[in-house]
Amino acid sequence: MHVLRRAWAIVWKDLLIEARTKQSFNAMVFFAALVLFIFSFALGPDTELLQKVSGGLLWVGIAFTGLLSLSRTYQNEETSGGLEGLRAYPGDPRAIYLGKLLGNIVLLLLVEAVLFPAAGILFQANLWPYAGGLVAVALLGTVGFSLVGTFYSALTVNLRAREVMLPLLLFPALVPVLLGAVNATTLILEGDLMGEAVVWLRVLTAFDIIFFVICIWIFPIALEE
Amino acid sequence: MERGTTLCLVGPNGAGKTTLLRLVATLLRPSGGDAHVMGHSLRDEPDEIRKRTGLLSVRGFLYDDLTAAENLNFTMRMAGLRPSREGIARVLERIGLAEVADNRMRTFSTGMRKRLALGQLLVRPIELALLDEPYSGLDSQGMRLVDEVVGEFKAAGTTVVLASHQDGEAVREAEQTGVLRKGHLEILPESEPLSRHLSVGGPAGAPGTH
Repeated sequence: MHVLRRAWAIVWKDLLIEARTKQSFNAMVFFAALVLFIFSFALGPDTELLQKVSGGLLWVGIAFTGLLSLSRTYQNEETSGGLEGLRAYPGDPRAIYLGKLLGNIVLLLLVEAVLFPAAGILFQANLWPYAGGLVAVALLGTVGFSLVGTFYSALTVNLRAREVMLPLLLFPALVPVLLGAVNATTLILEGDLMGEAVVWLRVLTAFDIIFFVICIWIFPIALEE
Repeated sequence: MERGTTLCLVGPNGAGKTTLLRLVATLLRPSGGDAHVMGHSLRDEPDEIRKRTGLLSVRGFLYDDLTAAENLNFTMRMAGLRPSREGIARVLERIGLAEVADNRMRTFSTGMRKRLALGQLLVRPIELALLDEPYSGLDSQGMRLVDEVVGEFKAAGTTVVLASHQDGEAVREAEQTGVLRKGHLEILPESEPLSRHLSVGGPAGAPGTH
């Protein structure tokens, strides 16, 4: 319980700062909209093609936008002496990881709440009938993305070339989650007649559970070193 | 060190004062060997030490976009305490920031930030206070506040280790003075004047003006 209370304190602090400064949210929404616009213009008015590739395009937007949020995960600690400020407090260091993870998930889900309807309009696809499935993919995909991203973000926070190192380390580890999310989204948007999307949702769930256990386990060691 | 006493660390820049304080606060791992703080190993029981230790760092562990009250609230929650408005208000009153309790720290001067960082040590019970350059950036009132807080710590049985280049009552009244030179700590005999090792705004390790 102590760990959860401290994690909640970090979520409260990070979201309060974000609500006041909007430094991540505004940049993420702008960047995501830009990515979707560029793809929309590049692929032209072919509605059938746009709908076929919209699952992939959506997750390209989410991945790059999420990267923007992840690179800032620990940056708002800089005025307080970096991660050192949080480490100076007693208690399980996993609270830091949990707090940062929850903050990233909330922020990314908020951006996705803008991104999905925007994609529906740009790609001329009615997403509403598939809302349930899309919400499930978005949740599982966002959790998986944030689990790995928050961990690697902590590993690279003190590196001089962190902007380069974070995507280099992160994207190979994200292959299963991106594969699962893109396939599940595409299948759902195509109507999922064979019920295959469930398989990809299970892959995403398994990925989330495995990486949650691994990241929670090794985060204290990563933080100390 | 005996409980409730003060050790003043002096030495030129780069001598290792801040590094020593960060080691004791368990923010750095010893590259070799071990030490015990309040009976607990730095290497094996860092959390036991963190529970009882407060560090006033040069920059302070504070957030620009939180108010003074919110910063103290966060400190208490991270220390596992339940924050109370009255408790936070009392500490803000004590450090002279009650009137700006709801102002964001971004608007604070260096001295006000230092006062708030000092407030972080007052909102939770500690047995060892580590103060890194506690007087830097403070006006005479602020310096007096540091001296008073150190006095209160000692009266409550809290041990104080302070690293300072500047003279002050807390520095002069320290039971022990240690000089750090190239990573070696030497405790000064009582007969040796401390002023030789202090400087105010002068170059590192320059002869003192007091």
